[in-house]
Amino acid sequence: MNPYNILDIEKNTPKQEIVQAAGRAMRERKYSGKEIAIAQKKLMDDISEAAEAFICFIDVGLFLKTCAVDSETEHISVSEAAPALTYLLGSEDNS
Amino acid sequence: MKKKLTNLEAVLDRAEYLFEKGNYGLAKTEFEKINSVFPQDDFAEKIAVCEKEIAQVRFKELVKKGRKYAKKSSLAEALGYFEEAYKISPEDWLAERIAELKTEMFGRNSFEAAKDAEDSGDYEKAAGLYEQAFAMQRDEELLLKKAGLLVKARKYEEAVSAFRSLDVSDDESKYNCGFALAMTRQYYECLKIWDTISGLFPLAGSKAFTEQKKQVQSLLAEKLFSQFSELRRNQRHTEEFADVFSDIYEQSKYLLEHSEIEKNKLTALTEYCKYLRIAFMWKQEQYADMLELLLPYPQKINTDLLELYAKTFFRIAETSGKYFSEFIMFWLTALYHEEISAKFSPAEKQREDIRERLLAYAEDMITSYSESGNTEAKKALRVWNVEKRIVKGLRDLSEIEPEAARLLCSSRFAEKFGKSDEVISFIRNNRAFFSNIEHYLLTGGIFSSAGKSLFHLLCGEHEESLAVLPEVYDPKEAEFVRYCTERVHFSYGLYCLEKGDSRFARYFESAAPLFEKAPDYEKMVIEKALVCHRLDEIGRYENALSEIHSKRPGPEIRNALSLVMVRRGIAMYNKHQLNSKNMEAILKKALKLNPENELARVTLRSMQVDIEMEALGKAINKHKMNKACKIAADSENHEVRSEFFEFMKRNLNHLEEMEMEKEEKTFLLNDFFKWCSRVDKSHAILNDIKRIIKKSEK
Repeated sequence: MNPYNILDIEKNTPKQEIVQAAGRAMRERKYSGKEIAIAQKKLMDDISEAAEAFICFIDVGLFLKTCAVDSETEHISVSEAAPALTYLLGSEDNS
Repeated sequence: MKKKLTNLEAVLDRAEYLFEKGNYGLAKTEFEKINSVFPQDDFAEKIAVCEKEIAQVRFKELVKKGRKYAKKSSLAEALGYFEEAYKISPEDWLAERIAELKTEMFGRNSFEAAKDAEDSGDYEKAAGLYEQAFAMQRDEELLLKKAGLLVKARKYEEAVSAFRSLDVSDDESKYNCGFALAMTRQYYECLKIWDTISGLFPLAGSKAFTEQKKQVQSLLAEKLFSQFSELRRNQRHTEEFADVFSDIYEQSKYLLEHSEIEKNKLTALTEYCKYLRIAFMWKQEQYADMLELLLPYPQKINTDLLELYAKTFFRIAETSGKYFSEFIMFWLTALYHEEISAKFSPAEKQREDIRERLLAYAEDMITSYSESGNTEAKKALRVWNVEKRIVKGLRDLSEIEPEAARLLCSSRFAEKFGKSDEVISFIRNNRAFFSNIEHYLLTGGIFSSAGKSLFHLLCGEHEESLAVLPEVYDPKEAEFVRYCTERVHFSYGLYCLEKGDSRFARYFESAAPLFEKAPDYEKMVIEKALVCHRLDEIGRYENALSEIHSKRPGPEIRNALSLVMVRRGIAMYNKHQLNSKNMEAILKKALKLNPENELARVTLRSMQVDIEMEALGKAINKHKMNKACKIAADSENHEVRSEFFEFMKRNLNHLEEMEMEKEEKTFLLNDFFKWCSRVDKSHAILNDIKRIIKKSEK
């Protein structure tokens, strides 16, 4: 159960907004009242909020940044002149 | 007139005879002759039957001929016969066959025309004609021919489209298909199909083909980079483009594995797409699918990657009930990693609380699976408890020795990512930190090359544990491996003991040094020895204790051996497997080991009374009173003396009542006095004997 998904909020959402999100989730009835209450409880407590944030989010931004830099700084070595491909099984139609 | 009639009768008889015999041709002629002279409905009917039968025979003949010519592929002749037969009997099947022949003839014509067109180099026309021939003959080879000719005709898109609906299995078609794909910029598909071309295909090993493949690989690389740049330029990192990134990933990975194209940039591109896919999959909660991208593990793992692996395996274990081992390896390492835990909170206390919460999440999850009967989770829980304790220990050490922080990791992580030697060396250099020698050896042992064996042991897998003990190891880890070997051997010995395997003694040989380091194991074997009940089991434990005692004669093991010895003796004695003397010898041996063995002492005393009573009874029965006196006199057991004096008392009473000569009575009474006084000079019976002697003398 991902409490952020249940309440449809992002990481580090202020407590006031968590309460509002819980109210909104109750009205939407996508999740049970119990699930919403548990999600809210988890995110209102500083310790469990931090623990939940750790297990609910990954950040690949740094990987992407590094790879993007690497992929842009060099030139790809493509075969020189890149001539058109030649058919190797006999001749092609010359028309 | 009479003669004419007679002739007609003869013709009719002949007609009927021929009809009966099935010769309808002649029968019809005869019936017609009669009918012309003497017309009757009956004859007309017979003539009609004959005509029908004659037509049927003709029909069969025509069909037979038609089939014969069709078999010889003389389609025109066959068609002629079938059409004639159809005129006689317009049957449906014949109509279908005629249509088929016509189609085949048309197809054959198309095929011939196609070949001519191909020979003259008009490939496009030839392709069209092969398609026509296929429409008639339904032979897929014709379509492959057509697709190949479309390639030659440079109609690449049409060729690709034609190949797509076909089973391209011959090498020539594979080359043609690949070439068409390449010419329509579908380089990846081209390379994939070219990879399946057999080595026997003449082109396969040629330089020209190898060069062409390289050329296509380069074109693919160019295409991928161009696609990628465009996506990045237009900020299309959204899930909407997940499939595009997925394709780029697959194709660039293929190039990395199959081409000689410069790796650096291609690797960066592949990795970029991989992590983007990981991010999309994480959002979609497709955790198990992420494994495909994360395995095999990289040779080195940085902090961010460690965090990613830890979180992913947490989710995979949580959702699938599998991969606990991998999860534990990364989770413990990540949670105690300085940089990762620093992100929990700037406050140290709060950081610690968050770590504890995350550890609890993990433990609750494994426990929950374990309690629901998941075998992998049950084993994982044991590993978790040990690994957690070890990592926590190292963490405590890091508070004193900051260098430890860098080495904080689970043992499996250390093994997988080549940190074991460093950790072991660090443990050795900080021996004084550990609370006791076993804590030190266990920590080092877990990180040593024998660690795997130790984990098998923790999971109750004795055979595996023994099997994976290293035979050769680095001298730097020698003390830890030795400790692990001793522990594994000891546990295997216990395991053998419990299942009645006589090999246990061999594995207890190295128990003494283990007990020196960790006396708790000695206590363990003693406790087990003292709680067993079955005679065979007690016997095995006695042997085991004896083996241990011979190597390490400590007081605890000695006392336990003494006690178990007595218990086995009693059990055997009660089952009449041991006589009194042997029992006495065992008891004396047990008392020699432990003079304070109360059970041995009490039992021995009881045994000795029994033995002396038995000897006393025997002596009395054989009237060997001197011997009986000696037994009673020498005995330290009052029961033996009492028995002796009881016997004398009974005899005295008897004597008093007996009628006998005075001298003879006195003689006997004097003997009684002599015997009794030899045993106890102060015993009351002596006064009684004296009294009776005096009385008898009066």
